[in-house]
Amino acid sequence: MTSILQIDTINFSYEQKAALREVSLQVKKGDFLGLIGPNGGGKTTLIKLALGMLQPNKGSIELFGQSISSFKDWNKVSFVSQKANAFNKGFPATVFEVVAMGLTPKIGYFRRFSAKHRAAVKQAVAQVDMSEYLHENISSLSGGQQQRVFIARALVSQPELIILDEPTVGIDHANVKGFYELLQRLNEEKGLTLVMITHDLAGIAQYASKLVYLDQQVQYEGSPEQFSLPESDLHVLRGIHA
Amino acid sequence: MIADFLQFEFLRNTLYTGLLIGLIAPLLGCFIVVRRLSLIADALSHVTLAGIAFGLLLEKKLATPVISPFYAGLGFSVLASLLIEKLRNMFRNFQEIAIPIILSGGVGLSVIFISLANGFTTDLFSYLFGSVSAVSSEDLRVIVIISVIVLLVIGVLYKQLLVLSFDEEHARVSGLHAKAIHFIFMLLVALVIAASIRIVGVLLVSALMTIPVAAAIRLAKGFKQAMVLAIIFGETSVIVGLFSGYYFEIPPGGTIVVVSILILLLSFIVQKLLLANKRKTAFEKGVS
Repeated sequence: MTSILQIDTINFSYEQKAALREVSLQVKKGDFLGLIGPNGGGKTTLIKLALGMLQPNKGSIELFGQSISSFKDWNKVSFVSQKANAFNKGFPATVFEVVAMGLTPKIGYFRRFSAKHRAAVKQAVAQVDMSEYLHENISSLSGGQQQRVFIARALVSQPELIILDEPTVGIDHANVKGFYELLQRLNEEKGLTLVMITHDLAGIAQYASKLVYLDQQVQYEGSPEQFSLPESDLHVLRGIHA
Repeated sequence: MIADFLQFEFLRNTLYTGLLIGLIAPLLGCFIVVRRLSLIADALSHVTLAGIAFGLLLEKKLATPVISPFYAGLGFSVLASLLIEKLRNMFRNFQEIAIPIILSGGVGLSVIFISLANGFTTDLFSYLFGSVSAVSSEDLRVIVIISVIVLLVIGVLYKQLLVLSFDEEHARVSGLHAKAIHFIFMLLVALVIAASIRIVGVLLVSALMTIPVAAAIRLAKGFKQAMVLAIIFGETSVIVGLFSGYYFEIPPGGTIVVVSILILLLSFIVQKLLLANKRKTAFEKGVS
């Protein structure tokens, strides 16, 4: 299967403090990868490296077969950040306007927002079952609904890979299940490749096709069914999630 | 009264200037407010005062106009916008500290220039609080140019500015030139402040950029709607403020700000009524 993201023996440190050591990872087309690990284990750092926001001290990273340093095809990648849900809650923006923001890099500076773009926004909103809220203010929605809108913003540019950094934080339990089901549907029906950082081990294990446990080094890479860690490490995970 | 504004050239200049800043100040203000930069506008306006005082000092000391106070204010404002960015980068964890540094620096320099000139008279007063008779044809020309620049740049950068305002991290990951866009935006703010000062005055210019927006975001669901409402409120404040200022012989800065605050109060009432109506409709739907 085609490799979407190929990380090869990378090291990264913040000044003198090592964050990642000899990390290798492969994400193939159609994977739904759950990235778990304790706080400070380097999950967000790894994602920042994969998005070209940081440069590794050693090793190589390839996106869609191209070196990250020369990768230009950012339309193929979308990112839902940890902070997406922490937007200014009084911000006057409708669901339509927020999702349309996902098209901004594609449209560029001098082209106008056309009927074709409008249709793409409506379609992305429909994919996350939020059409009835299209012209509602984003702040008036629940946390779970807002997260769906951010997924629609990531979907609108029709990427092949979506990277999500702890998207379920702050969403109530009932909505988290629906959120995972939405991601699974997008993964299975649309063939979308997903990489999701989470502390919710129980949740991601049910839906992901592959699990990676990262604590500065890759401690586990494989199917969620076979994943097990020593009791001490599970305690660390539970402690974070509590 | 309206006839006076159409008949006399200086009043006509004031009216046209008022209409232009009633458009561009709230337009830019929408981005300023949602990006939580309201106090930066205030800091820039105080530095503009230092520039104006510098221009007036040169005029008084050299007896010949070297640089008009308007251009000196414009130059100081643009320089201060660059300096604020430099300070915000230097104090990454305390970015707001740039505001008191620049604001007090502006006031400090103003005091020095005013003292060196042994005080100014009516000219400075009109720069502080605005004036209905202060806009020359040359000022109007510059303000028209500034307005065209602002409208063109916002027209091109609207989508990018909206992304940057809503989610800065997303903007950076999306490959938008966030730093460059922010820099251009700060230059626009400096230009609009300099353009607005003749009418509303240094001390009240940031009010025209923020109060109509504050009223608009109480009522709007989306950003475009907020922009349209803010411009309507801004124009209403300027027109009513200018005419009443002229009629009561009060500097228009004061009347414009008071009208915009009245609009803000009205927006609170309208918002409450809309909310009550929404609840009533939801309740009736639930009952039936």
